[in-house]
Amino acid sequence: MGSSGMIYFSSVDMDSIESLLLNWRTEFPGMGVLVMVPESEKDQVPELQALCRRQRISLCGAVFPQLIYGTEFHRSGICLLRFDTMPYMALHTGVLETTAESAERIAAGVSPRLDDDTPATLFLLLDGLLPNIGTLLDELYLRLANRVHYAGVNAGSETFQAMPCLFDSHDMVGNGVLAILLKPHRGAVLEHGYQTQAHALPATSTDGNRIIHIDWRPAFEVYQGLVRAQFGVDITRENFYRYAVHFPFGILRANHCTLVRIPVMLDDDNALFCIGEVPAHSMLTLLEAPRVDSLNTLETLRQGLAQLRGGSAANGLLLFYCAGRKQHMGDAAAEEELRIFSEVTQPAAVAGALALGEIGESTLWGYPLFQNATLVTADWGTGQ
Amino acid sequence: MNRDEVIPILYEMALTIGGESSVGPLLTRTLQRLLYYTSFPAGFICLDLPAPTAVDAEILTARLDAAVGDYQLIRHVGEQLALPRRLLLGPAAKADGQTELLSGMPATQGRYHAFLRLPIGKLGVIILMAPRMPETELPLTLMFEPIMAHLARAVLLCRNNDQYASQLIADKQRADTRAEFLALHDALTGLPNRGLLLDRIQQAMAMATHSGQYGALMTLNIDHFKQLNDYYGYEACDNMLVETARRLETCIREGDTVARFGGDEFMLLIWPLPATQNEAAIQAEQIAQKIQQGLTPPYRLNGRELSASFSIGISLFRAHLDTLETLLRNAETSVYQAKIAGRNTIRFFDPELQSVIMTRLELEADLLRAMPLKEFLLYYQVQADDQGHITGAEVLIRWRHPRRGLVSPAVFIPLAEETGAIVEIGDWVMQMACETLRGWQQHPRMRQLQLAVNVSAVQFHQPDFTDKVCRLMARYGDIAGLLKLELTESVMLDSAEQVIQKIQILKNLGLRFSLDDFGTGYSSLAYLKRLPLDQLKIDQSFVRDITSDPSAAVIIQTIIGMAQNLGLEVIAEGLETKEQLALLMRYGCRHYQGYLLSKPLPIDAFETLFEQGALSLSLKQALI
Repeated sequence: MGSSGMIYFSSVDMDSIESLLLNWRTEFPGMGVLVMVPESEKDQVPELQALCRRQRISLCGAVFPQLIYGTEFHRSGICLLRFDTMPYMALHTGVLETTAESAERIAAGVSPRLDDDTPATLFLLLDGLLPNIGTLLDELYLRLANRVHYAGVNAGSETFQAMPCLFDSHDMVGNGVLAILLKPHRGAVLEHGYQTQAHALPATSTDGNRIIHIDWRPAFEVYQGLVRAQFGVDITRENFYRYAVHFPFGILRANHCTLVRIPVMLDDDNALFCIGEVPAHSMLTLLEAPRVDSLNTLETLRQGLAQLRGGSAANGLLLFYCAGRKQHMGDAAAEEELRIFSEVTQPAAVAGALALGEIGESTLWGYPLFQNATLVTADWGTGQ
Repeated sequence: MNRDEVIPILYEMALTIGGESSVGPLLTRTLQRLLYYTSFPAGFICLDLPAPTAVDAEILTARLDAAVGDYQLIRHVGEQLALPRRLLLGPAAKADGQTELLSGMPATQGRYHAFLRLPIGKLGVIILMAPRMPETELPLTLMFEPIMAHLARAVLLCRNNDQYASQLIADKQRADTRAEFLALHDALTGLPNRGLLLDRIQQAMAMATHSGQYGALMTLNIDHFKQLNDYYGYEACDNMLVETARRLETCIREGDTVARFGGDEFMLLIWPLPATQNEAAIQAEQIAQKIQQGLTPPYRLNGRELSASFSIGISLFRAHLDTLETLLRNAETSVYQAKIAGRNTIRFFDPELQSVIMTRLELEADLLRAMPLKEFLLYYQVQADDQGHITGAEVLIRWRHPRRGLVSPAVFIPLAEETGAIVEIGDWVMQMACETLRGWQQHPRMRQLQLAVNVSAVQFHQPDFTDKVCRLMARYGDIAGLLKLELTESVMLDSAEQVIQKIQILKNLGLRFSLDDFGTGYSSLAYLKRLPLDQLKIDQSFVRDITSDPSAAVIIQTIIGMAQNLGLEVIAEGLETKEQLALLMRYGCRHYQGYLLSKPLPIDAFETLFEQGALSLSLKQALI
């Protein structure tokens, strides 16, 4: 099933995939393909790479916890998204060790391909376990500034186990960034709709995505106290994985757009691991997660898309949905959000994945932010 | 105002500002965090804003110190930009719908319609810009006041730190440069030290391996330096060493090295020198003499004048035939020999070279005495035409040395040219020729005879050469047409225009010019055509080989043909046999000089020969 160069196969059958790719190439000789694979199908990637190498078809892609197609989440199958003309794409490794240098390499690859007249989006697929994504975005913004729009998602395992999750025709890597330059493209829209609590405490000691101390005390102890005081819930080491997703932190900003950080792991020192970097000295609030304004979220996305497009609608939409948000909302509520999203945006097709963190420019402009708990959406098929 | 929303932001901003120690990163990071928190997409900072020049001036020229978020603007960081005064100056403010004001921004192409202005105390301003005002309920203009005050102090501290850091870097670079210099130079005189000189000697040896050229290592000591130290004191003698170093630097050639090895020991690397040993030795000795002369003027020590003397030892080297140690030892030995020889002396390490140099030096000294001692003699060698008529003679100089006997011109003429004595000798020869010609004017049969006089290139290029000749002509009356000046092709190596001009001036007086030794040097035909000559003199080497070497015969034919085309007379010198004469005649040469006609004769013998018409009968017949 599929439309607009967005295809979902419920099972990974290489013959069918090959046939589809060859058909596409007949129509679009310079085509390439973005492939999204759920974690359960990750072993199929090498065969897919071999197929693309054999047929000389440009390939890039990532492994996600689940896929989105239409109004449903899928734990199996495969999503293929056609680039009518393969855009510039580069798989960067070593990002963990050298943030500034990695940003420099990404910017150096992208810059020569930019011109002032064609809007472009730097779409980043990152390994969700990278602890320095916020800093990487800061460094990229210093170099590329407003020459591109910024969008992206984190790939990887829902269980937060390290694994190679980004690939092209030849390699499959972890701890990396897959940078794709979509052109012409007007960026993506992102929103979470989580309500903030006012009471703030400083993260007095952080290291990448690890909050070591809050208010000069071990992070987990403070977290336990906050949740108990505000929501009357006792979080222990045993039930941490079940509850933490419902009580994420918020990093406060002056325009009231809070960045969400969902704690996902706990270490022996009572430090909390989040998806996404927590800048040193950030002031954290505990978000009252149950109060998610779904309707407002989806309406914001619709308006944002319309604003980006300036009128004409694209054939398909990319949609990434935060895995933490789905856990928090529950499967039914999450699928309801997908249904409403399709209803309000009226796309020819929707394809995407459950993501472990999202990058976007909020509903405003400019500064790229790393978020959790959001939906991020962008047009597909207006020139890729 | 929600304090809990404001304080975290201020807290993080304060920590960001406090974490930077250099102005550039401080401004960039501050701007970046402001954009992060406020959702303005772009911003810039200008420090040290100028006061408006006029009350109604709409534009201020300010330096763009930092920019983030706008690629076009970022490209102008560090430049002076013309910016709207109303945007930059004023209290903290935010405003939407400012399209007109913001369109005055360079490079932003009307992208922005809203701004937030945050003055950094009196130090500068931060401007954040957006297409439309980001939503907020926070009092952005007020809440950042303490942060801006903090930033103003941080800028001053970072500036001091940058200045201090750049000073440290500059000091370190200076110290490194000084240390590097001292590692290779003598601290007292600033000359290269032993290490650097040895390195350069090895380089010279490596180059000499390919070129085959010689080099020389000279060791120079101040005679009786210890006593001078005792008498004048170390400080004064240190000054003397410094002065010596400076004088030595003026005596050497570009590319040579003068070094100080310590104490009063200086070492000079002279490279390159000629590829033949004797020539290299002569040139090295000349440089040593120049050094000795340069060090002769008295030094002033403690208000007193001191005339010091120096001993110089020279050791020649070539390629890697000698080891560095051997070379240094030889140089040391040679200066020791110079001291033994009585100080204030130049000595070569090689005794044979020393002998060559000594002989040359003696000859040079004798040559300078030869003129006042009237040791030079003039001989006259007949020049005749194909009718058997003596047309004149070439004046040849001989040196009768009191001990050596007759010294070959091939030996003393080059020496006279090197020492400059050739000028005086040449003047004398020319004057004597004039005297002779004037004397012949009294004899009706001899008054048509011509005399050819050799003029050295050194003599010819003297600035006053033409003046001197003009004065001679004025003094000796109407003989100019009988005097023929023989130049060699080497005069042509100088400026063509000057040579032509000099010849022309003298030709206007009636003098004639012959090009001597023709065919052996470099003569461009184009150049030859322009020279106002009268005669070409075929070199004796071609004449000697004319009967045995076909190529010599061809060259002579060519010269004769060329001369005829140029309208020049041709004379062959070195004529010794009738066979040579027969061929020359057949080829069209009509003037001759050589032992076949007559060997060079003293003036009396020449005149007798002429009077008696004593060219042998058979020769006359052959000529006719």
